[in-house]
Amino acid sequence: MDSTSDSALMMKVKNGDLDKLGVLFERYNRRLFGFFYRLTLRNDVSEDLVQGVFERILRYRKTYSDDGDFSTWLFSIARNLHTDHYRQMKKQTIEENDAEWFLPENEHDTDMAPEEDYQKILLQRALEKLDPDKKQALILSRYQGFRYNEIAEIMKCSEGAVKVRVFRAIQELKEIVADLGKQEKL
Amino acid sequence: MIHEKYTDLITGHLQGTLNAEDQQNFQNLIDEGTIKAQDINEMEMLYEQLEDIETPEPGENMKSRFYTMLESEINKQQKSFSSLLKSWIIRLQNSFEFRRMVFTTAVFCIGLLIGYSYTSLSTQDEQIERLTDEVSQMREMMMISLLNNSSPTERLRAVNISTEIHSADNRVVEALLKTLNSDPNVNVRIAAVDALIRHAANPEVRRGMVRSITAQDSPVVQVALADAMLVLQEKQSVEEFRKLLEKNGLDSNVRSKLENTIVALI
Repeated sequence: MDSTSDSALMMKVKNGDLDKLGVLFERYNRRLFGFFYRLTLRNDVSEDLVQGVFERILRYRKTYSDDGDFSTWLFSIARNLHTDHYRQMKKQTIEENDAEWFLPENEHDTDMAPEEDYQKILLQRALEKLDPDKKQALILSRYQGFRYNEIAEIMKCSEGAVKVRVFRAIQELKEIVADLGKQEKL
Repeated sequence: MIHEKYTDLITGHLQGTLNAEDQQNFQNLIDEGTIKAQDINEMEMLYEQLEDIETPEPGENMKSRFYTMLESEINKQQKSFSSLLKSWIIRLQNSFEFRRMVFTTAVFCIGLLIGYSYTSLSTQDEQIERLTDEVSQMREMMMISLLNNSSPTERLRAVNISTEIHSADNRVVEALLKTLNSDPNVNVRIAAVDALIRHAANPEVRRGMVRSITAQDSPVVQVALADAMLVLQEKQSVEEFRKLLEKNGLDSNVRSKLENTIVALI
């Protein structure tokens, strides 16, 4: 095994060489941040969750085994963390406009936004409306470059279930974008 | 609306993983109108548009929080490890069995050494070396072919494969530098920066990364290159950063990042 591979570094962390976690952090912090940001649309929450992932790695490092892909293991921790966060947030009252972005509210603003940006905002808002399982599956597949079998490992479900989630996510996104577009025109 | 029974075909099509038979089957369904071409187009368009949603850069605070946490964990570990080691040595020294154990271990090690010197492992070593070379070559070929794929996901995958190639030759380096300079997708370019850092022992990689600085127009990639130059402590990049700073319309955050990078490198 290459001594600088992710798995080799994680084995070193497991065996007490904690410094090596810094290298893994440098390799993955942006990807994890992107994953969480697309799920939450919040900078501060995404940064907290990235920190949470590495805290969990330290806490559960003894459970790591090098027979699987490190990134799959990492993202299964990230996915569980987001699911816990989502459950916590669900208990609290969430303001609709909690996110840092917003959709232009009056007709004047909508007119001012270029069509491309407007579509982007609609899509972002539609993405937020998806349930977490579908959103996670879509983001892991579209942005993180994982194959469906790897996502199945991350999400602890069958490959078929992942494909159904991705398929439904895209169908739903299409409908939500269309609905939001109509609402904005009214 | 596309029927859910075609999920496998649609998702395979979107990720570009359909085999020839499924591809043909999929095309037939479109040709005969069972699956509407317009629905597929809309789906593909939406899948592509998802790429346009940008992600901001994490704040510097995230890194400092992580390293503070790591340092405190290392300190905790060192304390517990040193106290454990101390008590173990004291216990061992007091043990009557200690000398016997040292003697047994020494005899065992000498036996191993003699056994090892009489066994030729050179043939096995050669085979392993050959196999490793073949696997590396296969990865290289796969990576270069995937880099030409139209799907950003596949290209991202190709860049990730490059990180598994132990000793990258010029073909891999050239392919990664080409991706860094000309890939239309920002995420792929950032992944190329990360991948190139791993091969930074090669001077050509360093030169290529430095040359790429002024060629980048995305603020995110510019920042990623600045971070990379800091990691590599590449002082030759200072001149390129200065050239970039002279450009009009440079993002103000990037400008401040580059200025800080120059100060850190000088």
